[in-house]
Amino acid sequence: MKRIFLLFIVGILISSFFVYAAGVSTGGEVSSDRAEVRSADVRGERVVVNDCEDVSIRKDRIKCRLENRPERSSVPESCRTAENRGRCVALYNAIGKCYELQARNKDQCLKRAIGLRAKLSEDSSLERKDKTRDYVVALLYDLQERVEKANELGKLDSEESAVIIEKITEIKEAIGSGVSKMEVREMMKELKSLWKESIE
Amino acid sequence: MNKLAIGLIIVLVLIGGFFYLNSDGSGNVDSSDEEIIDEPVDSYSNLDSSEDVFSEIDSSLEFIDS
Repeated sequence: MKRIFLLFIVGILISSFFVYAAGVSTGGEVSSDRAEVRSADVRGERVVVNDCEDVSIRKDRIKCRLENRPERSSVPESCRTAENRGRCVALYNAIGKCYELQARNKDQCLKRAIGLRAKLSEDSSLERKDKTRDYVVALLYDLQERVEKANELGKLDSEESAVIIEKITEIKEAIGSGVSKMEVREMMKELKSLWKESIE
Repeated sequence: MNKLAIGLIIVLVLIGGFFYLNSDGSGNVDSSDEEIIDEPVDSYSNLDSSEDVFSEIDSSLEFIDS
């Protein structure tokens, strides 16, 4: 009888480990319903098609996802090199549903998911700096979604789309790694330039 | 036998407590208990066009270093 109880406890401990690992694992697939991100761009970053994942050059990997549109997804591209990948993926999960909304409702959803006030200048929380970084990443996701939509509609080919998404991913990584606003602004200039050349 | 049953209950409570403390459930990235003030939707930024989003990014960058 004692053995049965001990086996039961050990079984619970082992199974609880897997439950925990599925929630915060940096390498696992995001399986929560909240991880359902409709953004085409986001889908582009979270695919799991082995053929695309095996591509070593990022731009080609993104292009592969754009062209194959796999249904299932794994770790977002910009989270791959993140210092805290679990937090990076959690941000993804928290904001995913917001992209179904439009205009001010979308902004409201994003800021609430991140924990920001409507006006950043009025937000006096100690974490405003970090939250604002998350918010800018969320806005970059929005741009990425627009690129994918343009690609889906045939307004932008996969090569051009991949170049822009790669730049967006680089900026998100830079923001996540804590670079200064001046550096981000420089990168944003490059993105705007690409945007004007390809989309406008 | 009783000791084993008590031990089992304690283990279950500890496991339950562990997951409770590690979960948020609010959908917020920040798991603190900080209350988000309910603000009218008009006070939020309009993210209608890509220009709006670029503009919002520009203005938000002011706050990423401070």
